[in-house]
Amino acid sequence: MSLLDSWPTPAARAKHQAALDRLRRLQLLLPACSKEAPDASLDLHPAFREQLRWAVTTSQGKEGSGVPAAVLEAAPSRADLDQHASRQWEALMLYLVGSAEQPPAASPLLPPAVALPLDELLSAAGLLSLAQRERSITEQGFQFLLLDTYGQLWLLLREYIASANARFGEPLGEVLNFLLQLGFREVGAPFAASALRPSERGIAADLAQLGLLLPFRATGGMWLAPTRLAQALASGGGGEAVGEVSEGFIVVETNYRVYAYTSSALQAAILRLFVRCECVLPNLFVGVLTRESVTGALGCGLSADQIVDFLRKHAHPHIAQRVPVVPETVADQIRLWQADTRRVRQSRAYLYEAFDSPAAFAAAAAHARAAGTWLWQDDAKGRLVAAYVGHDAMRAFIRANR
Amino acid sequence: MAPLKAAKAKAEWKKRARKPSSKVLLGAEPSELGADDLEELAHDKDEYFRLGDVDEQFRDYAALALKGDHANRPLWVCPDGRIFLETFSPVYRQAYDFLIAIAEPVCRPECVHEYVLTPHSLYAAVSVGLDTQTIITVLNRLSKVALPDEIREFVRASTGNYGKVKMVLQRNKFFVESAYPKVLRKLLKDPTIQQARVTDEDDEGLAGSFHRSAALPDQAAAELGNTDVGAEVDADAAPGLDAGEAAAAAVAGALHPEREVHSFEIEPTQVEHVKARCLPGGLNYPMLEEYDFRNDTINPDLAIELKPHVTHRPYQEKSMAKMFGNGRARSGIIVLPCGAGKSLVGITAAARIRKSVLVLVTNSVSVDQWKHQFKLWTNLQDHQISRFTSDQKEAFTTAAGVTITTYTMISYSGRRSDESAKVMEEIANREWGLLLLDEVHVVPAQMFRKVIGIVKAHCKLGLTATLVREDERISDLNFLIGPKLYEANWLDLTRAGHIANVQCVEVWCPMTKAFYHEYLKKENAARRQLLYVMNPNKFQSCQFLIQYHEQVRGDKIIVFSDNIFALREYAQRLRKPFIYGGTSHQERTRVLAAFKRNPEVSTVFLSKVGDNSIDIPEANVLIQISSHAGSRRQEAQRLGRILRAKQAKPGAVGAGEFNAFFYTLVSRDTQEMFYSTKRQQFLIDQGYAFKVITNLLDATARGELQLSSEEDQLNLLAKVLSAGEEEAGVEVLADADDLAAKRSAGGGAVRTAGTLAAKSGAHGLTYLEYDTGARAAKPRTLTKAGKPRHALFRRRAQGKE
Repeated sequence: MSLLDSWPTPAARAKHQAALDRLRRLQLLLPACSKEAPDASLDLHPAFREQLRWAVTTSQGKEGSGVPAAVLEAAPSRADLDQHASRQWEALMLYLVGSAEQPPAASPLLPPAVALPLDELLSAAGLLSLAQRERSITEQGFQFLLLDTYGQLWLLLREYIASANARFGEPLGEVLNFLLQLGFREVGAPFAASALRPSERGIAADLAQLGLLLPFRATGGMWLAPTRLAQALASGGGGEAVGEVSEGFIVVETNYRVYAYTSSALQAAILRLFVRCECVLPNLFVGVLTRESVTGALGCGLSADQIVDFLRKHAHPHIAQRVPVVPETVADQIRLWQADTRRVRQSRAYLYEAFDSPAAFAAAAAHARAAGTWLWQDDAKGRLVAAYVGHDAMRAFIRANR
Repeated sequence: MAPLKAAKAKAEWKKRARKPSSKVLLGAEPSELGADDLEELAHDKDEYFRLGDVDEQFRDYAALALKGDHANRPLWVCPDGRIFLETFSPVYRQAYDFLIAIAEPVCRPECVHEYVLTPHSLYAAVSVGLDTQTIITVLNRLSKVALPDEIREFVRASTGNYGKVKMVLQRNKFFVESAYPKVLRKLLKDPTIQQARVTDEDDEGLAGSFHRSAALPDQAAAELGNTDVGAEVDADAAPGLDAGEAAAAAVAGALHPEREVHSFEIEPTQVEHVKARCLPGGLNYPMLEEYDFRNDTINPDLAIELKPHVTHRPYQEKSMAKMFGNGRARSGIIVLPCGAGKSLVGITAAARIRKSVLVLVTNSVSVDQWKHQFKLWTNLQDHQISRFTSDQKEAFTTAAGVTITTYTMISYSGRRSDESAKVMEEIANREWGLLLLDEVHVVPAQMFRKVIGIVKAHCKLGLTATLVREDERISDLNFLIGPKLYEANWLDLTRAGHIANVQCVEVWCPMTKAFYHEYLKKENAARRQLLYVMNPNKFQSCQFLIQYHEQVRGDKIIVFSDNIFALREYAQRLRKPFIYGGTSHQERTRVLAAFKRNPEVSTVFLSKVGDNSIDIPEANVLIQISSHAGSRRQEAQRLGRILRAKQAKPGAVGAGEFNAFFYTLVSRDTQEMFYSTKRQQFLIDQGYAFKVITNLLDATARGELQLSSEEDQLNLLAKVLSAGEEEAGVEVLADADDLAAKRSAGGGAVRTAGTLAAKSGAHGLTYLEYDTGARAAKPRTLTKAGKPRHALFRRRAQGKE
């Protein structure tokens, strides 16, 4: 550890620490437990180490080498790339929420040999439930929607990597290798599709569908340009690298009204998880936080803090300076609503009555107390309520005492 | 949104589970409720169903065309008449002034305001001098989206006929006046108006002929139309707006060429009916009432001048500008928050018109306060101001003067003393220049009708803080008095330091076990309110707050309780003075004077009588321990008691610091919680936020307060349970109390205590149980479906008895 700390210059210490943190978060840097180097305190993830070695030794530095000027000229602009990325990603989210019937369209220029099984992917990630052939979003799915794009991307890619192994019959490393290389490319720097191996081509087609790559035609055939989503692969998180889909847009008022400056169907759909929509204008979503709408969202597995957090993170620049961003009373009320839903808990219980004799009743009551399942009794009417868990024992006891 | 259905379904049972609470309330027998309750309930019902609406029914206006430079424009106009205004827009001020003239504010929090266009609001717009074309043009210029055709159509339909007919009072006679004889002929085809018409001998048979005179040039209206537009023209922030064209249109619209006007006379008693007939929904020619006081040479002038030191705040000036926009006086209502200087607005109007003034207020305490205000702001002397109450029957000795009286004194229909009858006759015979109506929201429409039938006034000005009842009463006011001329924004006034910056707090007090046990018993239905008001935890919170504010901050505190039993009990336990309906006028004055001057008296307990118009500028803390069900108006009125800007710490307001405190104590898990949410709605719409405190007191704090021992609490409970139902009820006051008090002084109680059950809707809560109770009398051997019961269930059914 101390050796690692001695690497950076004092000025870069913070950056160094952040890099290490990221590596840890990505599970690439693990606490050491290898026998070969007993003094080491840290270790690279074995698979990662293997692939890193492989990548360093075999990849022939394709990057930036020989992209003809004509191709650079034909390459899509930054705006095109951004538009493609957000369109595809939004389409995916809408598909998940169910607002869109169709998943994001695959690129016509680079059709995948085998269609990306999105349903399976989403359901493997626990976001979608496919019970009875009907797609419906799960509790995790709701929470997923409130994550930032970076969090969403990796959560999905983890499943993708796992499934790609089976789909392309490639070792895990190959997939990772490709993704990492992609992550280190500059946004918009094109590379030739022809240089890819067939399996990589398959992955590239999938990534184009998800909005990480934008294929285009130019001299020399098909080229691929990474979008800002692709860059996020290796950026290690932090919103600004990904460039959130848009800046803040939500205004929450003290009268529980929510005004969202957006025309995105996705953002409206997300807001409607916990806001009752009143009307939608071309660039404004008007809704109100009601007890019903919030408890509905709580019932779907969201928490009060997640809701407040979401509203705060996406606050309109005009109110972002306000302290607190979400009016205190509104935030408090959302939490109180949550507390309300937790005040009463239900548990199953059993009512025993019509005992043969007061003695039998007393004995049963005593037994229930001894078993710790006793809940309530009414001596006058000879009724007894005990927890359901002890029912079998109670029944046996009452029978035996008859 | 089919997709979210799964989620919705999950929430569905919860929704259903909650339904009974409000349904039960709605199930209350109407006959057992007072009119007030019905109103509140009717409102509850609306709101309830609105809340219950499924999200799927939202309005989708996404297809509206967004203008290219929308970022520079401040508002959205929806096809259903709703308007959303950004307060952070650079042209907010101008847009606000314009909107407040043409639309009703729905809610005005910090960043985005909501307004709605209604026929009444457009009527008000026309009456302050805006015309159809100006409204449409300016609205379109301010809107981010292309103005929907529905709105253009709506504005045209609502305003096309407006402003064509006027009601004028000349030489004690009422005339319907118009520049368009065709319109008059159309009106006369209506039977109501035909009957109301006074036909001279000469005119008989000549339905088509009218009195003729020259129209007054309406130059001033054009200026007003221009100022509104002109202000907007300055806003260069919105490029590409064709301001010139709009301004031109406005001038053209407002400048009627001088021409003849035609008129016919109508019966004074029929004035209101004629006006009602002419409103939208009837003939749709709403009448404007204007008084050309400068050219009135018949009525004697009142020598009234504002004192030189009087300065007006911007919003007071603005409301005056709306009223006197064209050099004449318009009738209408001005809405300002309590404590924002409504009386000064009324007095300024009186000083502008300079004719005799009749002031109508709700009770005799405010009669005195108004007289004081007149003497404070103007040069009027005692002999020019007369008070007409049950105690004082004065008459002013000059040719013109000011009379201050109560609504009940005027509308009283019983026998009067000679002295009183003489004053009444004088009032009825005089042609008043200005009729000032204070607190117009509390007076029943019936009483207004009567008053307006009796008093002949050229111009009527209604003043109020809270036009919150969306019931008939509000639209009544529209033709009884006139349109709303101006409404101030509470939040803007607070920011500018004109009214106090209030911290609103809702304190949750858990019910003690013993009290809650009784609360749940059905035989205590009539005492439920008393039980949750007398909740020992609530008492302790109240005591704690009083101690804190008296000792730590040195504040002046008002405690409100609708419930007389609780009022007395709290006040006596805490050794504080209290005032309720039965307190005599002298006693009231004495207590209030002590509260104002004596530093030892920092807390006063008030019943409902304190809700309106008792002016207690010193108070800055308000604690509410019991209130009238879900009345939003009461909540706002009570808040008004502490809104008067505090002189002591002028700097603090600007810093955004709270300088007044409004506490509502509610007992948890009782109906109070439900009502409390309801009550706050109006203030929340004005931008106030209610902070919830769930744990005000910890165990150690409790120990030092009264009622901390269980024994004391049980004693109190016993006292509560033995209280008669009469006592347990809420005080019911006549709207204006003093005449009623006089009348009944001979015998019988002043207040008619309603049962708590009726007030709280408890009858509804228990009716289900009566149902089962009645049937359980005989063991049921048949199931509901009529089949014989299974032996096991039969035994259970019997066991229930």
